[in-house]
Amino acid sequence: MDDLQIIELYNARTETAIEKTSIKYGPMLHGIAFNILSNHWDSEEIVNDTYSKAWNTIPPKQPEFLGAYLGRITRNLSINRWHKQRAQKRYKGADLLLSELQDCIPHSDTIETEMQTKELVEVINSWLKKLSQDDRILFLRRYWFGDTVKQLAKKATTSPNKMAGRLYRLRQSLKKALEMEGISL
Amino acid sequence: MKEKKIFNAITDVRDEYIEEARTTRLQRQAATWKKWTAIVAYLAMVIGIGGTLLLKNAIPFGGNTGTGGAGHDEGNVFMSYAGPIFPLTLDEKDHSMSATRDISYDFSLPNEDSLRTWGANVKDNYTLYNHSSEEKTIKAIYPFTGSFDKLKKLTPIITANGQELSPKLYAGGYSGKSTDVHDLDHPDGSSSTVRLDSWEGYKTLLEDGTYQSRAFAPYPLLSQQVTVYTFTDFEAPAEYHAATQAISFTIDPDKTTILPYGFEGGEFGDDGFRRYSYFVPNENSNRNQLKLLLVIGDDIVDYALQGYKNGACEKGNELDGVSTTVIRKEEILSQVMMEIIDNFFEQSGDGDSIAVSKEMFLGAVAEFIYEYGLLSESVKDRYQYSILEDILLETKSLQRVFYLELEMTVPPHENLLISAHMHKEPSFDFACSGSDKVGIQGYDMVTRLGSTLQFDGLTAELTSTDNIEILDQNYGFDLSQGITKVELDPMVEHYYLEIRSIEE
Repeated sequence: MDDLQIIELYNARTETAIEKTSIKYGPMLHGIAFNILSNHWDSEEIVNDTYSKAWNTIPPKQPEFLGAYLGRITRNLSINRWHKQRAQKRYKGADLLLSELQDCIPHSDTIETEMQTKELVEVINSWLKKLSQDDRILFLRRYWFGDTVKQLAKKATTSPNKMAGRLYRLRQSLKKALEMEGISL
Repeated sequence: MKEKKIFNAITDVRDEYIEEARTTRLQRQAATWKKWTAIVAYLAMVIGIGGTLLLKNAIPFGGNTGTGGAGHDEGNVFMSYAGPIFPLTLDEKDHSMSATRDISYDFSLPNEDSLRTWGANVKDNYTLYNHSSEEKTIKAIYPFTGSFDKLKKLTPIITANGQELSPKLYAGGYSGKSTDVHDLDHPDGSSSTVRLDSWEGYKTLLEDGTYQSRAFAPYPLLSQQVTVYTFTDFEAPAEYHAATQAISFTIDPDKTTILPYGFEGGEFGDDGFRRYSYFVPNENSNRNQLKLLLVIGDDIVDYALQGYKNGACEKGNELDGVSTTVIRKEEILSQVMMEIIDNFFEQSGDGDSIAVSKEMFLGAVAEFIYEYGLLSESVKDRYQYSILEDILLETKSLQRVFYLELEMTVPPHENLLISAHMHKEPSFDFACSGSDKVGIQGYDMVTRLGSTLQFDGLTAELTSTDNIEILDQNYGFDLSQGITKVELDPMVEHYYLEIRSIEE
């Protein structure tokens, strides 16, 4: 079933919309949540909360890309849950992804203005646009979907070592792009 | 943290980029070697590791509760399927024995908020008749679904003519399936697990008797002699919170198998290169202090120890002042596994939650390793790196069928009442799922599956029904008419009941 058909089910308030969503996107959403939370049951709850939010927001929302729309909800819910759990020191969660992204933080001597998140998104969008399609996909698979380096290496039929190196170079590239914008975080 | 700002901003990049990444495969490149790393989630601490090769999620998803899908022709399919209540059976067919069965569900259990009912107390009663003129000594077997970590709660209490028995417990193997992490229907997937989600799944599992036979067979032995490398006396500069100790060596993979315990990182080279690493334990962390490398087959030679500033075990990232004492000894695998099991439950805080002997759990671990792990003829992707924590965790938590075996005597032309009392968890959909089944509890039973007994009669009864309403069933109850006890057809294979608690 394609996205338009699923969205039509939401619009018609037909509850099979959830079932169809679950069949098509459930594993992907679970993957996004799990890669942030590292906890199966919490991830399951997040995915279910995602369905609930989708049900409550479509309509009026009519997402052009349903997968991205649902994935973003899952990611936001997972990050929020991770913050709470981390405060309780329950589990490690997204620390690995965050630690890697430390590489992207511009040096302080380049600071001119403190950037708001919205502007930061635009700079990252511009940077992504300049990347090759394969690098753009790789960056988002790692830092949006949370795929592990091993999974990415397997998909690209390369070694994890080389894949990690490629990701490192991408992070350095983003860092440089942020510095060129004179960005402080 | 500034990196959080980047992490959050990435969430909102353009939809078309996300869609592109979701639907487009990465270009393939030539591969020459593999590398893995894992951090066991419940043991790990927060670590900063820039440019790291440590892959926390190398342990794939923790498994799936069910696909909510195929193979179920009656009643609802639930996201979390508890499994049916099975019938009593005898260890071998005996035509001079028959039985009647009377099952009752009591819904008086309060939920955590004391307002709603959650779960049922089940009494599964059997009257066994000995039609012969000889005294019969029988072995009766009562199957039930569960996992090692829930046994205390779920194990039925068995009585015979009112006297509580001490049946012997046997555990079947993992009852679910292997699947792919991202594609649950992938025919060759073996990187994740998925629970059975319908009674038909149990029918397929049990109907030829192989599963039960294997449950009653002795566990395989872990009698291999292994070389054990134990790491102690951990040292690292205090200012490096993620200081990492690595050990590297080269093996012939056809002659040597490595089983790590307590390690968070590792690398596999096609040329036999191996590097295992752990974050150096210190007094400020709860990192596991037990670090073992078990070597099966040819011993490792000429290993090298190297410290690193963090988990990235790369040139330029070396760190002086990281050290450990490595003790080599030879042991039998089962002996060292007992030590590891002790440590595992101590670390996971579940020391008193296992209702079986350590020896039995070790047996189940051995079975798991031979079935799915590196001692298997077809190693599942999920266990290809032989991380022992994975094996122990999954042995503990994966769903399986258990069997209680009891031996009894039935006088000629007399009968014997056998009762199984248990708490039965419901099948359910997760809260906030948006599913129209949230709050519904599913209970089901099978009448003949796996049983050699001939059933001459079957009844079902509901008690303490004031706080429930029935939404779907094929029993024939009618609470509004006061029909709470019904006769059932023993030839109908499956009965199901779906209820919801009534809010007070």
